[in-house]
Amino acid sequence: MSFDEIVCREFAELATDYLDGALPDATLELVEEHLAMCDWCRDYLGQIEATSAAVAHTPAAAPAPDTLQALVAAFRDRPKEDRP
Amino acid sequence: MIAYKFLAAGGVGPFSRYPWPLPRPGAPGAWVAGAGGATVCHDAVHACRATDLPWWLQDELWEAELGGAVTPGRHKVMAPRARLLRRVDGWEAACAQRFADACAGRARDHAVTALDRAGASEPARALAACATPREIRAAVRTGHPPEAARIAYTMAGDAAIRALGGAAVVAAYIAAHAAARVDGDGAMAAERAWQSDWLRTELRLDA
Repeated sequence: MSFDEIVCREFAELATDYLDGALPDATLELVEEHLAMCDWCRDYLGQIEATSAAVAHTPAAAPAPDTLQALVAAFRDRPKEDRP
Repeated sequence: MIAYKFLAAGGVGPFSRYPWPLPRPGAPGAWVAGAGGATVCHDAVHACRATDLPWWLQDELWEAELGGAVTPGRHKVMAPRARLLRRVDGWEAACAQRFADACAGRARDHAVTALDRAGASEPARALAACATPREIRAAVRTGHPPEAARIAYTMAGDAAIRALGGAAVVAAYIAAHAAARVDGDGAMAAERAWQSDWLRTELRLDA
C-alpha cells in the first residue's frame, strides 16, 4: 500500500519549516492533514513554538572576557590554509 | 464558490489561529484575504469541498463563500479570499460522536471481512455482533484473530477506542486505513467517500 500522507516521524522533520512558513503547498497540505488528526504532533508543535518563543526573549549572553580573548587568539593563530 | 470551513471553537482557524470575522444576523462575515496575510495562510484561504470534510473535522463547521480564482488541492480548495456565511448548526458534539461511532462500525466491518477471508467465521460472527464502540473494544481485547486478520482486527479496536474518546477525525482515518488494509487502496477512497456522504446527508449539505 502507498498513501500520500506523512507519519509523525516525517512531521517532526518538517515542523520547523512549517512554523517558518517555508513548506511548498503540496507538503503543507500533507502536514496540515496530519496535524488535523494527530494530537501528539499538535502537542509537539506547541512545544516547539513555546521553546522558540522563550528563547527569542532570552538575551544573548556575551562570552566571558577570558573566553573571548582565547577565541580571538585562536582565530589569529590558525594556519593560513584554514582561513577563508 | 460555496465551500466549507472547519474552525476551532470560537471561530478560530485551527492552524493559523486566525479569529475569523463571524456573520452577524442577516449579514455574512467580512472578507478575509489570504494574499499577504500570513496569519491566515501563505498566499490563500483554504476551505473544503463536501468530499473533503472527513480529513479536517474540528469543533465548528461553517459555510463559506470563496472569492477569486479557486484552486483545487487534493483534499481542499484554495482561494484569494473568503467569508463565512453561516454556521452549520448540525455539526456539534453529538453529531461528531455519531460520526465517530459510525466510523468505528465501519472499521469493525472491515475486520469482519478480514476474519471471514481468513476462515475465522466464529470470531467474525462475534465481532459483527458488536453494536457499539465499547462492545468492539471489549471483543478485540479478548479475541484471538488469525494472523492474516490480526492487523485489521487491531485497527477495529483502535477505531473503537478513538471513537470512545470522541476523536472522530482519527476514527475516520483508521476506518479508511482499515479498508485499504483489507481491500486495497481503492477501498480507502471508497471509505472516505462513504464518510463524506454520511456527513453530507446528516448535515444536509449541498454537494
